[in-house]
Amino acid sequence: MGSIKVEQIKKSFGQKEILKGIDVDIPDGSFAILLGPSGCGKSTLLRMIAGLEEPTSGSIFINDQDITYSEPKDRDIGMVFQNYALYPHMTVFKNIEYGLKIKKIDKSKRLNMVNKVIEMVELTEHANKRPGELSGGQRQRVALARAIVKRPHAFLMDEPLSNLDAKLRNQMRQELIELQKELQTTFLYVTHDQIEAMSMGSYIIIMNNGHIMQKGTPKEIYTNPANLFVAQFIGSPPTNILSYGDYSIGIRPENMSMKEDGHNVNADYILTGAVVSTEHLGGESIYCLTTDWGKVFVKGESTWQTPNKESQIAFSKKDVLVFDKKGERVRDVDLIENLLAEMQVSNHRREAVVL
Amino acid sequence: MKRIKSITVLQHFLLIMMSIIAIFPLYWMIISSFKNESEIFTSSFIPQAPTWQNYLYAFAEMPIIQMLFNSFVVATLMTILQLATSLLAGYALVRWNFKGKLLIFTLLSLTWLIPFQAVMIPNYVLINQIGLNENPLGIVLPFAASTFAILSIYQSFKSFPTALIDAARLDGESDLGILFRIILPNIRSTVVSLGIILFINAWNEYLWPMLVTKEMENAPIQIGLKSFVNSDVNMWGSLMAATTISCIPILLIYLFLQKHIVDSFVRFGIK
Amino acid sequence: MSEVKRIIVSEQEKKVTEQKSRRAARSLIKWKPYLFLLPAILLLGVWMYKPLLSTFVLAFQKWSMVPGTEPITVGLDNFIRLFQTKDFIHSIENTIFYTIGILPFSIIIPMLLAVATNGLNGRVKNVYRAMFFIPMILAPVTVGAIWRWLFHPANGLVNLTLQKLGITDGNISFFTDPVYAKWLILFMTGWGLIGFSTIIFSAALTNINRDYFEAAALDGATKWKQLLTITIPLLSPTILFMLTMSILFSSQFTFAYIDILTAGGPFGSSTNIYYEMYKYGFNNLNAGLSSAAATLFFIVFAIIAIGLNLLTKKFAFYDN
Repeated sequence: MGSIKVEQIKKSFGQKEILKGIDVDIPDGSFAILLGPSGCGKSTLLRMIAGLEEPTSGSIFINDQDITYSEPKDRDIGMVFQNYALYPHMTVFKNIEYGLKIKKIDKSKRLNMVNKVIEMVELTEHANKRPGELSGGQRQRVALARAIVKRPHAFLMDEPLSNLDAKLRNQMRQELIELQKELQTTFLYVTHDQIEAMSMGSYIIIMNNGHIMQKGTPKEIYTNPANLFVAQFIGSPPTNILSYGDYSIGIRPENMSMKEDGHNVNADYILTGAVVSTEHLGGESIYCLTTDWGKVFVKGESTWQTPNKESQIAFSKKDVLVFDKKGERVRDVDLIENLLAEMQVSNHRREAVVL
Repeated sequence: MKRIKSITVLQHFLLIMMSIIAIFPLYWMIISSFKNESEIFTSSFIPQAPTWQNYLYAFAEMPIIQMLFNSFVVATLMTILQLATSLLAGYALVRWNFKGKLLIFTLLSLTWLIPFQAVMIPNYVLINQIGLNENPLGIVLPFAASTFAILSIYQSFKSFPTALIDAARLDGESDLGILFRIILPNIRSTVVSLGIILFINAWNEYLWPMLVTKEMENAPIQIGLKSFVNSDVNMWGSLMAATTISCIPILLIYLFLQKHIVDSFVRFGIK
Repeated sequence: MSEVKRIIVSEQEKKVTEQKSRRAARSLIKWKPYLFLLPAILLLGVWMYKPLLSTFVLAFQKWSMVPGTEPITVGLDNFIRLFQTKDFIHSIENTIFYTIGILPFSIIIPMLLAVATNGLNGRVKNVYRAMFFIPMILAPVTVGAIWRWLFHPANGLVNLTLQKLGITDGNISFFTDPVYAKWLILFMTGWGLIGFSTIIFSAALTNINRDYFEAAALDGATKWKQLLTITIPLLSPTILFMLTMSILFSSQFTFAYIDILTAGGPFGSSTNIYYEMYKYGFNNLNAGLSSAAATLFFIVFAIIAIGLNLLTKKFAFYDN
């Protein structure tokens, strides 16, 4: 009951165009993520869906209702802010109750609703405290409760976990996923953290510079990036980019392996490089090598051994991503074949890559 | 260790000297008001035979109660109006982006540059035309909006987190509701401090009230005091008594809210 | 089932009409900021900008403000007369005298006092602050009355003390003596400002990061050197703020004391420009002359203010 549709949204502040024609269609009940670097316009888009900002042009629909210019309160949405935005002068209970009071919901019903939500977020014993007396995690829960109590069509969240420490953030991520399953309501979640996006979202919208770069499930975005930006933005360490003429060839570090690993049975290509540094993460290790094509990161199973200075890296053809001059993905199989063949020739000359 | 101590002694000496210079005139005013007719012309620092005579004379000479009441009405009204206009204006300036905002803001700030003496004649003519002379409203009206108050409120609103305003909008709160139920409770002490400064300024105002009121019964206490000072009667004890009375409200406020007042003057600067 | 459907349809109709009324409400929202600003703008327009324009017009007219009479346009006569009036020339000299004379009280002494007393702990500091502040909250009339009594020619404490100490042997009529009068008015104004300025400088000083001084001390800078190279540059926003305040407001501060104590005299020796405006208008009932002076000095002060503003932007260092 809470689909969100955005059509050709543009927004300028003065001369500066922040959003340059955004189209988004979020199906009801999905956990959608707006992902992008800071300043890409994602928060502005979220604020426009919330009704806190007006678009310069375009329309916004919630449940197929055009709400482009309606007041925030008429949109049936709940919002969680980055700094929680709890009213400092009101108790937890009053904070949650405030919106219902304005809606003039009668008292007994109101108390019932608020108490139920407070119980749900496990804050019953803190109901009469002010936000200043609560920990970061508890404030986060109050902010959630305030949004939940209105039983909205959709929840909008603006980097709600960015102020928590790493451990608490992991815990809250799980809780949010469970909450979304329980409520069966659309979540639209803004973040700049790709790990957060990949681990929580069922639908990811990647933005950069006021444009949408790609939309899709986490799997689609990871395995099939539409352009260079997405390929580099998703994944850690980022996709290795080898420049070749007008083209960029991308291979994810986790799709490469050190030859002595013995995992390169299917390897189509081998690249020679010198190991500069090694980072052991426990289960796996990240190797940094310098090659004729520049610096390359390889992620592989930990052997706890310092690799040979001179090493060989193996990767297979199916993992090669090719992008054109504009950064768009090249899907022409023949062109990719040619390119790799050419590279191979030129590499042969350098005696670095052997098929 | 020894050096640090000598610095501290010097510091306190300087500060105590400054303090004496600051409060001695006030002390002299109060003790003079209790000296009797023969003692008033001596330089004794403590009245030998304290008397209320000066106060009785002052009350007989001027309608002091009426004038204090006038001052109170004028200062209260002025403070309330200045706070109201500046709260509304400050809210508009932080809440919305609108056409002409910069122009309006510039015009508001530039009134700072207009000395009252540059507008007193046209204002005097206007007040007489609309018949508000000899009327507290006539004293208050030209000062009902204060640039100083608007800019001070604007400053403190600007540091108020906008996310709270957004949250209130999502809760369905109206603009007046946001102003009075969300912003104001959180910056109450700032508004109270500003209110005190505005009240003190209004209480001490004297050029404009002097132009508007001719009759003692309609005038604030400052005007009565001024005519007493200029009357050239050699009643210094009574004059000091009247002066003391005129200071009492301000000194009482100061006594109880001293820290508040000093802090807010530091924050807002001077008018 | 059909019942449910009907409800849904009527719900939708309701929402469509709501949508329309929202569109209408939107145009009202566009007016909201102006609505909130209206009281302030209206009041400042009626009581500041409109009269300022009237003053500019009156500067070229002759009028006695008597009800029923009309102003007569006289061109530049008022301005010419201004410069032929001895008191006006006096008043310009004195305005400059007061403006420059106030600077030691509003900047130099307070800054040195603030530096000398820096690092004092909270409680004691508050007691001093409370006392320093008193002159600032007293009414000009009150201050005028007290000083007039302190400096009374026959029985004032100052004359009594001077004679007791054998410094003088006769009464000095401070406020009717052309030399003493303007100095006294300057001192009174300075007395009112000095404590306040010290507090402002103290507050600014406590906001300066101690690390700078420690770093400088490690570099071997003497106290005096630290004052010149760290304290003063970092206080520059405060210094420029106080300078602006002093220049723009000192004439308004002195106005009250001039009016109460000397009425500009003797022989115009203590008058300032604002007091002359008041005198021309309300003593001589010459609105034109007063307005000409006001126009002239509004322009002069506006130029100074713009200059100071540029200076602040250029020279104020901020500690991030």
